[in-house]
Amino acid sequence: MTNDSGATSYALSKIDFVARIQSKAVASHDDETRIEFSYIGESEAFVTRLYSLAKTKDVLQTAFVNLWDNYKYNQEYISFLLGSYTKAEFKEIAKKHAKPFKKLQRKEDVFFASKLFFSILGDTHLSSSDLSTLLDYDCDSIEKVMLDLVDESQPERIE
Amino acid sequence: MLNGSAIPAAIEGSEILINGQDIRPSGYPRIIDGIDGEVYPIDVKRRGKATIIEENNPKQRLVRDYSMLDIGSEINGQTLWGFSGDIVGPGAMLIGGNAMTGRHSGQKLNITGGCFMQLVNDWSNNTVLIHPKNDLLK
Repeated sequence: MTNDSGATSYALSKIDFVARIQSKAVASHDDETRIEFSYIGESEAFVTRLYSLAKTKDVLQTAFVNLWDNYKYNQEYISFLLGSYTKAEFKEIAKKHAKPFKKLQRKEDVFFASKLFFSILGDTHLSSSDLSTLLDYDCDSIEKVMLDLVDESQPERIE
Repeated sequence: MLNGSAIPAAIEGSEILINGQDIRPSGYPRIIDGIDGEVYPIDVKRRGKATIIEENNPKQRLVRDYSMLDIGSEINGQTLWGFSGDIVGPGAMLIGGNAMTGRHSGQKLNITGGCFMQLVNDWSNNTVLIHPKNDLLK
């Protein structure tokens, strides 16, 4: 809450916030410093935001690597379709690009990533196979997660 | 011979005929537990139908425990996903086939070498909520 002097005051039992403490030179006195205390935000909101940013960076990094791997493979595949390689030559190249799907650890990760991709790409339709390409999980796991999440949050939508 | 048009449904065979609109390769090859070598993912993004032309030998399920294995068994729906055991080469895709409509010529693709196709979205999207984009954006 804000008091008459414009400063924010807290009940002692509710203190839980993040702040910045800095020492600054006093302009008129070179040899003096003062301590400045700046309020940043409630701890929970601050940490949640920080976690969300870190998670966003992880998801985007994963998607970038997956898309890059796909790009490199597709370049080779296009060359094969254009006749640059024989089938046997391309099979050897394809083997080097082959990877298993990642094991899905937490279904919340798929939900978070899907929501992020939809918010970035706007109206673009993303199927579970598109999400599979971006996240490197197989379609079946993604479908199951989507059903679970909808089931938990909006049971009335499942008929 | 079975027909699967409701989720979950899948087929496995050594040769599968795919009919649909927007049949596309879907990313780099994959290594899948229980299958020798790499497989080549394939998407059918609209009006998909996949039929077993030749059964697995030995006739067994390798990918899903609900896969149909009999010759002639098919799945159909809005979107399908699966893979081919062999590379899909130049000229493999044929224009025409059962997916032909007044506005789309339809596509036909024969895949071989240990194949799998799965129903991802069935025809009744209104009642079976598979991919809730709108819910996610709330």
